[in-house]
Amino acid sequence: MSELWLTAKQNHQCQCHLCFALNSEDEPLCWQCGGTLHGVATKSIQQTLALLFTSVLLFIPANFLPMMTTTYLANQTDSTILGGVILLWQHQSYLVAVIIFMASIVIPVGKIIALIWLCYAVQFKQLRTSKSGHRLYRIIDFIGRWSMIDVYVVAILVAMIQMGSFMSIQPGVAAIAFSGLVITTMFAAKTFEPRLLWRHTE
Amino acid sequence: MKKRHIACPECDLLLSIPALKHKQQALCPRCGGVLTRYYRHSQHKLLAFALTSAIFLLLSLKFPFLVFSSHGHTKELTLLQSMQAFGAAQYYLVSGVLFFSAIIIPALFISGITYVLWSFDRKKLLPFTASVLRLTLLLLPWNMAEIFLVGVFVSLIKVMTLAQVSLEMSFYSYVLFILNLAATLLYLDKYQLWCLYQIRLKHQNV
Repeated sequence: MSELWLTAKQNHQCQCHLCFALNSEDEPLCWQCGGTLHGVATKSIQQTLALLFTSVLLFIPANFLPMMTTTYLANQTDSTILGGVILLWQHQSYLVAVIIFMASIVIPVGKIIALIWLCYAVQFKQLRTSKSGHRLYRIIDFIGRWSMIDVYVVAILVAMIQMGSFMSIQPGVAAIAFSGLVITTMFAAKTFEPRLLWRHTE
Repeated sequence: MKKRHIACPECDLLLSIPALKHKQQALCPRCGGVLTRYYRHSQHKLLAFALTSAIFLLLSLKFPFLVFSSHGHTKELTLLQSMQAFGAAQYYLVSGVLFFSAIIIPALFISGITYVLWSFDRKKLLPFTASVLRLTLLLLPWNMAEIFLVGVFVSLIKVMTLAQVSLEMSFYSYVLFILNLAATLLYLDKYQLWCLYQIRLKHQNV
């Protein structure tokens, strides 16, 4: 069956990823929308790996520095992401604890590992089924934005809880690192080229 | 809808999309990715929902968002104030990211799509229609309005034991904005929009 399948690349064409217009292979810009054309074999893997490396570096301050500082009757407590989750669990807010844990730890870590695995698979042609790899990529691409929840939660808590000396919440440095982590992993998922997953079948 | 040759945007396979009926979708035979969904009158529904969500977004900026009271302290927050908290603590970068992803980008997306659809409804296309459509679709993955809403719910559950929080006008307006935005995204289809653009362009040149 696969012999019957012809890709745009084999036909010496390149499709604009934004407007579906087919351009000839050597064209730099799309004739319809003027966007830059990206051929299949560009620097996709290097870019993805570079962004993933950045996000791994950002993961360290995001998890070890405080996400927020609570001042309660002149007592200051710093809480990291994981510390906050554990605290919520102890306070029997299981649902919120699970949501925050999934969004801030499971999704970013899973995403980074999955993208590294996909890059490895493409580079060394280890992929037995392109379809499952592709499905994994779609899940990563869809779910990535949701890690941002924790930053929003901290933002609203900080805005709400400002009661002078009685109780107040201040944001922590981890918020910057964590936002950076989410943004770099989103860019990493965007720069990864799913068309490469199918190249060995062609 | 006429048959047209395209390559699957996800796996680069050349294929032709057959004429679709209402609520049908076309999948790539090789990678299984959704190529396009067809809804009858989708551009009119798209415009209607986009305009409705624009109205609700504007309304949600004006009124109080949450009112928080505990131990004699009462604090009223507007939507913008709830995002400025990071800025007040010198975290301008994070504040900017939140502000852009939950308000500016959805707003730009709505205005972009309205401009494009308005342009399609005229005899002659408005200038820069293709560029506006391209940029609007590029913005789409960075819209995080619905994530902000979930964040609000989570923080409400977090402070419920601590204080009384009441939801105000802007909050309900923002929820309606999210629902309308979701409906807009349901009817949004890249392929259909570019097909419409080509048809319009052809009519104009005849």
